[in-house]
Amino acid sequence: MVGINIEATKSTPEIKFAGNTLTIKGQSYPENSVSFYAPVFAWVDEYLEELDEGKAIFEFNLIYINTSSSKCMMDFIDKLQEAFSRGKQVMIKWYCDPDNESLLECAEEFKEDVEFPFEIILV
Amino acid sequence: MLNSRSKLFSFKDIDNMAKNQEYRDLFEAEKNVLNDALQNISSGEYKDNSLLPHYRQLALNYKKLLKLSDKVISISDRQQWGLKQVESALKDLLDNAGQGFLTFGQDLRIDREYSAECRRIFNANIENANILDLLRAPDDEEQNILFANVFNGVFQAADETTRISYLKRLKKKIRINNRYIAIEYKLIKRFEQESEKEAVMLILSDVTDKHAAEEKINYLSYHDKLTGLFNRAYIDNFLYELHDEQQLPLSLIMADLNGLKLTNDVFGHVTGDKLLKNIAAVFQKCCRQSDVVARWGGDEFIIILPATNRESCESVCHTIRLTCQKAEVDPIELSVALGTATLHSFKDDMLEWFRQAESKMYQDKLTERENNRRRIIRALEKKLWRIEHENEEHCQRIASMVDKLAEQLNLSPDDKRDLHQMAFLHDIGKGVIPLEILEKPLSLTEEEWEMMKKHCDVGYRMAQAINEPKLAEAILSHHEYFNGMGYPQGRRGEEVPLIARIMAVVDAYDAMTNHRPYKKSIGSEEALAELVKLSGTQFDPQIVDLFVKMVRSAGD
Repeated sequence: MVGINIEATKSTPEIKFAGNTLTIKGQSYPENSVSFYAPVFAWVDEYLEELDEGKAIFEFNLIYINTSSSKCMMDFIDKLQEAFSRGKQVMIKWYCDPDNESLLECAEEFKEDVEFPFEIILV
Repeated sequence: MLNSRSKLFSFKDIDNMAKNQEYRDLFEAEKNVLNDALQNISSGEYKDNSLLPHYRQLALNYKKLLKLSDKVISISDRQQWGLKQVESALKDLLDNAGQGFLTFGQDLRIDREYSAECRRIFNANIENANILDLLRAPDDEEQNILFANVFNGVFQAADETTRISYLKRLKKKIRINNRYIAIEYKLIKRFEQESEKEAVMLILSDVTDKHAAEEKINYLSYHDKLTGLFNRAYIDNFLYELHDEQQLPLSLIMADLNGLKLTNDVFGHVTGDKLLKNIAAVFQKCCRQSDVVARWGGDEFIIILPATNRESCESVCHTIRLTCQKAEVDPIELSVALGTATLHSFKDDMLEWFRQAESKMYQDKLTERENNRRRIIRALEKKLWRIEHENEEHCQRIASMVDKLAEQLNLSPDDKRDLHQMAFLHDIGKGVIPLEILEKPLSLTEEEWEMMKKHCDVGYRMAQAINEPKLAEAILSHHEYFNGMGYPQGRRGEEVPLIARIMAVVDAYDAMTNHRPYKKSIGSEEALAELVKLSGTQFDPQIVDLFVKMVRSAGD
């Protein structure tokens, strides 16, 4: 399957796939979050569909996300939850600055209700 | 399905949807709507209604949406709180950096965010102010035009290289509200609605103190601290850069201040410094703004007069001499030796130009040496005559008596001259003794007496300074006793110079026969008897003998 590689801009994160890991890194406040994340979600859907025995890792390292991006992230996590329910092996590694309490609380918020492995990593 | 149903219809679950009280309140109305819907579904009242499954699905989605909204808002608020903290920390950094940071775009209006230092530098809130107005110099229209051209040009330029080259044309230090501000100009990209726009950032540093220190260093590098005139380093630079033919003929005056060493030795360095300042003031008064007056070192000065021929230069010298004569005698009459030279072409040898002026100056000094010496002696006498009993009459009386003794002793013309001068200068060293000691009506304390005795040594140094070594020796010894019990060196007999031995006798006689603050005067005979009494101990017996005879014969 063709990977995904989106360079970062001032308002959008870098999104890259390597090995079995999709990384989303940077800030996310695009003018239209839905249209920005639509191709990403399409790729993720296809990737999860094709995922067999292997494990898929999703790394999030987001400094700032706006409200609409938050909604997109929740949709993203729902997708993974749904895949997990279908027996896919997925996991999230959510990177956080330990000195930024707000981001840590956000991570906890995203983790809530998730049943698959969701690791908050303080770096 | 049963599980999800029970989950859907849990009222407790609805209450716990929002973890925080504020979010619970935020969705209170929506929760009530959901509660009502769930009660309707579970009541069984509408169990036969065909719309019930759709209604249930709607309630399920509504609950999901409510939960999602709750989470998204909670996350968003935390994100914003985090952002606010970062913003606040950044603002603290900028406001406390001690530098002004401001930005502006194509409209040249200052953006909303700028650091606190900007407010201090411009003494105003500058949001939306025009940068050209802020930087406008009331007395430098050229600079104002440059700023306008550059800032407008930056935003019209096609590429970054051109924009940077525009900014490089601007001054790196300007004056704003009487302060010196260093400015760095930076091109930045400003993020606006998904696009980047060019902006200019100014970083302002108040360098007023540094500027003042630099000015001072610069001033001291090229000025003589004492007189405020230019120094040698300035002249070196000035001459090196001098190529303008319009400056020709270029005249030079070399000047040497007379009597500085003596003034320093006799009156102290503070007075010597005053003399230097006085002559510097004379030079500045006699020269044009375009002339360069410098202290060459020590007591030497040079004046460079552009576009000045030999005659005009000599005329300036004449004015300098006249001004010196008219100047206040403080402490000695101002006098300078002057030498001039005129350069007609820059191809001429400058060293020779200097040598010529210097040679003439030394010639002038030599010619005027005797006059200068007289001027200095006159100044010293005046200093002495401030003491009541050491006045001119006292000196004249002594001079008259020693002149007669010199005749009788058949002294050489040189010795006669020295003895005559000795009459006026023997106590010259008293000029530095405080008046309260000199005129004290009571006996001196031991300490005061020690100070008083120093006048011999001071007088000796004064006479040496005016190149009178023989007179100096006599002044040093005129309080020595014939038997070696005097001061300052305890010399005896003929070890004491003859003119000093003569002066000791005559001075004692005049002191006894004239009123002194500490002693009433006595008659001539009584005084002569006293001299005879001390003959051989304090005084030279031969001199006493001769003097007694001379006074008595004059009385007859």
